[in-house]
Amino acid sequence: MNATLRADRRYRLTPHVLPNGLRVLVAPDHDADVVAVTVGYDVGSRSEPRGFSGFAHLFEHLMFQGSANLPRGAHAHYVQSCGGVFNGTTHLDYTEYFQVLPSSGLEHAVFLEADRMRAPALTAAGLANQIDVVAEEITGAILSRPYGGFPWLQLAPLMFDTFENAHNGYGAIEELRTATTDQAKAFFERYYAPGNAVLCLAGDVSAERGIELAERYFSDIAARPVPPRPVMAEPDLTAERRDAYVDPLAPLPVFASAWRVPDPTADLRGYLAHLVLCLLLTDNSLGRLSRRLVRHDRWVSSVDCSLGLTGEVFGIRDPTCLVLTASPVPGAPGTDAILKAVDEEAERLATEGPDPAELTAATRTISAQLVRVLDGLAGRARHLAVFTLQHHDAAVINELGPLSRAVTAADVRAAAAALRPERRATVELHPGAAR
Amino acid sequence: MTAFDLLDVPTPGPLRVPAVHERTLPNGLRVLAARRASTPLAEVCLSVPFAHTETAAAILLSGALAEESGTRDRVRAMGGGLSAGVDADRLRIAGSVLADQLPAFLALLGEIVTDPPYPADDFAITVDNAVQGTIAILASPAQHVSEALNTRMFGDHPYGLPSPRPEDFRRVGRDAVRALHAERVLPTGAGLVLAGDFAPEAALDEAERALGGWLPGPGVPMRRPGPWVPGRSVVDRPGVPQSLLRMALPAPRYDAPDYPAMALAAMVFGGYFSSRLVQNIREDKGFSYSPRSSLLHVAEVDLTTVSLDVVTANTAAAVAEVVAELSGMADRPVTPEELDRARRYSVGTLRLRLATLTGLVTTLCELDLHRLPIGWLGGHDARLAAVTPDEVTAAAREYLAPDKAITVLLCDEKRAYPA
Repeated sequence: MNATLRADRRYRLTPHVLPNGLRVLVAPDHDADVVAVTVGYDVGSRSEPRGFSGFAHLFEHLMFQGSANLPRGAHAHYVQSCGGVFNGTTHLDYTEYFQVLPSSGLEHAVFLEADRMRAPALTAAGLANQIDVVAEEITGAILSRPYGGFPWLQLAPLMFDTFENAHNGYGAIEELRTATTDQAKAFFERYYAPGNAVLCLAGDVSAERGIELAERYFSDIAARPVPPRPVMAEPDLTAERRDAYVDPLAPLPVFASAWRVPDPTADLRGYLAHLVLCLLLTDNSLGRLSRRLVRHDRWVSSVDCSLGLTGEVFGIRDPTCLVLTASPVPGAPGTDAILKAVDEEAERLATEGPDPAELTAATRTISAQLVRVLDGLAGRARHLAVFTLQHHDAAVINELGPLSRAVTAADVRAAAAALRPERRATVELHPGAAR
Repeated sequence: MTAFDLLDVPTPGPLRVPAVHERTLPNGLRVLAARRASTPLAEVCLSVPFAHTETAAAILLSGALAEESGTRDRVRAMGGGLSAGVDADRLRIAGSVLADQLPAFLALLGEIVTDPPYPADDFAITVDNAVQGTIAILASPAQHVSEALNTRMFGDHPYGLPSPRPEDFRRVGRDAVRALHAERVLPTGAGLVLAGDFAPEAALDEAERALGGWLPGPGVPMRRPGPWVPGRSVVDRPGVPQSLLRMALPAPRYDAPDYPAMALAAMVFGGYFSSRLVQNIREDKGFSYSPRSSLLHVAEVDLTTVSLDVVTANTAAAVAEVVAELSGMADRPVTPEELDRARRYSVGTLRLRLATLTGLVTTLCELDLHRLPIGWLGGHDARLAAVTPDEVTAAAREYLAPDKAITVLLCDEKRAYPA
């Protein structure tokens, strides 16, 4: 059908590596006079040093506190003077910094990122200030918010046993207050080496110009050893795990279950089959669980499956999960009955497989969602940078749509067959504010 | 590294205003279509005047339209999604599909607005969902402070009404929603925006085919809110760890002569990271993660809003700083450098907004809502360029004076203000 032929957008990509190890990727697109400049570092909450939860995130804040040629506040000052926006975000497996600006500001953004990759100003004053800001962020996002951190912060320690996978990536405020500039300098030395990073320029820039600017501003940053990636592998669960807690601010119950999924890098096809499985189970139109539990039985007000503990489908390494979240309707059969229905529907999909029309609608929907996610330059540059870090080839991005549509009924059956109860961890949130 | 003159900050080239094709159908529906060839999608937004509708019924109507099973299945087969929502002014139905499915999607949209099914079983689920959703929202302190501010500003005007409570939803029957649809889901005063990879004139034809038979009716204009009565109130919540400050002040309309000056004043005050508010409260004092201020325009009200979340211990100091920064906009006049940076940021971010499909649709909807011509975009940079520092300070004196603000602070009052 015609629609499937026009369901993708392919990006032209020019990769390049500087002698100091920095990977550069240019993705020209002259649709608008706008460009994204993104730097991704291969360190995130899961790879931060043992014994200091939240340091990767705190350090991300410090990268905005000035650098060799720039006083505090100058980064924002210049990006915004160029008419652009910026931010930094810390993820489980990487940290990214981006600017999106009119292409007239390209060289400024490249200069700014190079300056802080070379020498961020890691001062006591900047650290003290940003500890306060992060404390406010944690208070607002987690501590004072109903369902704060759910389900990530509760599922991770239930599903996993090692510090890397199980710990809270925000960290504890009191522990963050003990952070020192020496620790920040050591963190920078170790993890922010050019060989541990990717620079991605996407949008209104030619491949030649992008590489020329990267060479001009980044090539004098000295190479440093790239830290070995921490071992994050853990065996799969062999017995079901359950936990429960009271959220004093929450008015309604909710629970979340997780199952391990295939390695997104080593077995992308198997991973995408699980993405298709998510839609077949809980998409609001296609989902068998939605039809049964929301529409027919009315046991839950909503049920949702997605990949990744933090909801990040792409940009995550192994080990990672499929997460099912369900909001039981008070008075209806609760968690155990709902999980039994989940098992039955997974079993049915594993045995009978999806209908062809169902599978086509699911994979076409995924294709369209991919196009939408990559339409904005910030999201596009982030995904390209992360695929370079995690798949060693950003061009994999161009294959995601076709690969999704190539997922077969047999792939889906295999994925569904893996959703067994003994591989599952479930955490229930009991509402402390129920009336 | 070669020398680079950081201080030589470049100015973006002239704005490329997208070519927008317009057609007003005989039934009153205004259709705008813009092509963006690179992305194989079509984004659609239909906006229908919905002033003075009963809030709970309006929310259920929008929920039922988007959640109806048959509609969802058809949209999914197009690789797309459909959503609907309401505010005090408008009902909005938005969709996104693969580009060559646009005719099919417009046909579906035509059926939804002219012959909505509202099946009973789906409607019951919509009511349940609205009830559950409301219970969840009402647990959030941010919802409480925003309701308190709206009520304080607008009383029983539709802009002042709180979210419906669970019992309000349970009282609304399916027949009431069907009646509301028949009475108010009309092409009169409505706007349809299309953007994506399609031929715009053909898309206008498709829109006319699908929606030309939608029958018009009488429009209901939004009543003007009552007088603005400045003042400060506290929502006392013993035990909350974080205080929520929300303020609002009257602002000029988009088409007012002093709007460009005020837009820049608001930017300098708290509209972006380099603003006085963020630099003081976040980067200097570390009081708050995201203090912010922005302009808000709805059909009959234009406001500057200020918001700040801060731990209890720092509340009094942070609130005092916000008030001082507001006064400071008049007492410490805006410098040419501050004005230049705010102007550059505004000029640049307009280009950023128009660079994505969703940003383009949002911008065109906003223009349509406020009855601004597409050419308004093309004049944006020149309007800002003409503003002087004195005009910005004058606008700040007029619109950012703290004694004109309505302020609501949700906090643990005894601990935030022990004296």
